[in-house]
Amino acid sequence: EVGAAWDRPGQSTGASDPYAEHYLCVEEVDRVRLYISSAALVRLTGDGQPCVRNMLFVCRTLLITVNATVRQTLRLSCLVKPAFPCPRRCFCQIAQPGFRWPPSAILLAGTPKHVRAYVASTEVVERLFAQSSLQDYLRKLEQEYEESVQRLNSTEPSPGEVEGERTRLLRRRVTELDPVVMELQQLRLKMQELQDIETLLKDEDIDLKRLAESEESSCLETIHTLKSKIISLLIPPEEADNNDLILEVTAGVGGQEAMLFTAEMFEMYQNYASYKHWQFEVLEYCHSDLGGLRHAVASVSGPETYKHMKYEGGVHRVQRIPKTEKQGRTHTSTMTVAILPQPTEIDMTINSKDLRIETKRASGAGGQHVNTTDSAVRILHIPTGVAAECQQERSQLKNREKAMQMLRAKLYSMKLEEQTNKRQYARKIQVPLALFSTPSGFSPCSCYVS
Amino acid sequence: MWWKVFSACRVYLAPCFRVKSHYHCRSEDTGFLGAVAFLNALSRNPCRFIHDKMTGINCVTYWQKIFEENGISEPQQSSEHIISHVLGGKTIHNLTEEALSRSLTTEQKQMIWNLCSKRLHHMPVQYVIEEWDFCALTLKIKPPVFIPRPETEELVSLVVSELAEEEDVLFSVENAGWQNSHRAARPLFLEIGCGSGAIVLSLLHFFKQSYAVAVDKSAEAVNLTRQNAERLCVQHRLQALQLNVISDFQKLTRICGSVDVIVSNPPYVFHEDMSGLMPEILRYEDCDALDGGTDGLKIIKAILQLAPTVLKDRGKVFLEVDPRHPEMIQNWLQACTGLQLTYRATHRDICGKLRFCELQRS
Repeated sequence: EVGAAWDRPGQSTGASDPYAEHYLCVEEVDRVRLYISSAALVRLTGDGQPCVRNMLFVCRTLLITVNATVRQTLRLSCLVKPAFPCPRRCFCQIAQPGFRWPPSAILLAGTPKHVRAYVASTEVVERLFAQSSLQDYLRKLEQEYEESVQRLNSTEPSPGEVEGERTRLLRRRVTELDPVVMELQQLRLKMQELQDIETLLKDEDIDLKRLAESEESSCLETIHTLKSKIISLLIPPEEADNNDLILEVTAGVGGQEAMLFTAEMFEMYQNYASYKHWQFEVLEYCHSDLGGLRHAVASVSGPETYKHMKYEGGVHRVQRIPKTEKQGRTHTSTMTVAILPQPTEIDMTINSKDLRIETKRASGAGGQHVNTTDSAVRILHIPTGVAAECQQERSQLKNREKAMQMLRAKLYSMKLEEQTNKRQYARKIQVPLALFSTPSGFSPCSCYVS
Repeated sequence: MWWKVFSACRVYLAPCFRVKSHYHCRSEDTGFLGAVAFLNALSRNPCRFIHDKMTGINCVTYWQKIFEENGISEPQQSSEHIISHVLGGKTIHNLTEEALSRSLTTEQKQMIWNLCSKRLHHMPVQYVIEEWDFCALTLKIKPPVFIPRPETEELVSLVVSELAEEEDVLFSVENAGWQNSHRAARPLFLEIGCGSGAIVLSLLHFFKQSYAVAVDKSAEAVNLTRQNAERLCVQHRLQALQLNVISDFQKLTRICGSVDVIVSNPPYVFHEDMSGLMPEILRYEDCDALDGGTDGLKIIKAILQLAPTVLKDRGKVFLEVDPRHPEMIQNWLQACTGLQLTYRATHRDICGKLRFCELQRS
């Protein structure tokens, strides 16, 4: 439940939680909650640049951070089992008959649905805000914001390209810091109001006192929400969160049964996309002769698709009695899902000279001399050797566009992977090995290097 | 018991005769191969096919084998296209797993049998299913009107990109009057040799405010263009006329007025290459839509002679031609003095062949 029973997960489960940390739910996405331990957050903000890029929520009960160095130092802790472990299972459960929603999460009145639910227990928030490190960090952010704004306003438009780059970076930083600074200013105003109300409380008039008390409670509430909002805004978003994506499913181990499972999963993703009002366009769909799906590719577009679907990648396993089984033995079969973010025009440009487009009409005179119905197109990116093909449509132009889409997504995911690997490697070689074996995980350590 | 066998035999014989006559028409059938084909034909009893339990996928493999045995080109794609058309999808990939593994109804099987029999006579798939995709549109196709080729889709995207560039140029030039910018947003097209109307309808679909005139020698082509325009709800922006660009030269200039762009996929096959074309094309498509004379330039020259009289100033002509033509056209233009047309560029198609010519009225 949002806003309730987050403080001590050990109590709810009954098992003794050795770490006894407070956990803050910073995001609720389709009834799945994203937790961050308060200690971790404090430590991040205390050292300046927050370096946890991803907080992976995971099925069932574990909180794992993706960042390699942080993983070594933060402990895995058990949390209260969330209502729905992951959007995929969540959706399967919703789709079944006889399903009833649990008591719904109570979002604050006025918060739009797409905004993260950031209500946290007051204790946790107050503790966080009491930390001087957080205050320093917020002050630094404000300073940076003011400086950047001043610099942007003072620079004159000059024709040099270097200048343009700098102003672009500045502008981007300003847009990033804008919401945090706004909230901070609002917080200050509210604190001022609270002080005024407190002076009123000391007044002798009973009516005024009552008024002041009621106003005080509402003021405290708003302050509390503002503080939680600021905390949640401090967590940096993933750069590709808002991108559209390409979803690729492949049958794995298990033969016929694996292919049937793959077909079911693909249909499930299709229904999920329609439930979220996204566009789901099938780019490739390879049947197998005996029924089932061997390999399929689809393009999913809509708001925040990558953010919701990025954790679906990997190998999925099913253990069940297959339809084809006569004796009733349980079999395990697998299928893999790959999620590739689609780059925007700015993120990724491909030179058309690097591409080789292959079609069935290539040989011979072509044109009016030939009439073929085979409009399959295969595009090969010569420097990297990545190829994408499409034979989904009857029109060759549309097949070419779809193949280009798939190629761009593949190249972009390769580029992103390269970048993350570089980053991880750079961190790994800097962190000394001794810190990996620290027993008490939450001791403040200076191992964070930007 | 015996009467059942007898009635079965009678039914068996009837289609056997029909198919046998078909086989005797084929010139390649000789001796042993012919006998084998004949026996294969015997085993294809329509009644048995229609009454047997079959799913979509089984049907595809069944007919693929038959097409292969009879030497039909692209056996797998033909069978897939026909059967997915009967099942309601555009391609077999658009149909769900479930739809393909369902048993077919008798009507569906009857329809598949009829369509595949047509394909066995080397009828192109587009004529068999009477529709095909072109760019973002689905067009109705009927014999003998010329079937749009994939290269022509690139002609359309070339026209669109060139006009977009022109619009940028016009907007940036300071002297560009209101009329110029107005024209770039809604150009007036003339298509010569519209066929099924593929090019002109795609352009109208893209430029939502423009108007077009489409001209073709054959009445069937003009009717089909009008039908497709109605299907796509652009009939109020299109004027389709039956005119011959060579003989009705004067009438054409009078009707068209001045247009911004002339676009055409004229008949450009050299006369000597005509006999070497596939049986699908020779038997069913209109030869007048393919034959361009001895050097393939008969219609192209007529279009280029018409162009200066019909085009506005700085209007463009886009043509799809044979790879040997760009050089020939350039030479002919140099020889032909007094024609107010400059050769701007040759563009390649995705197979790398010199396919499209761009000319401009000077």
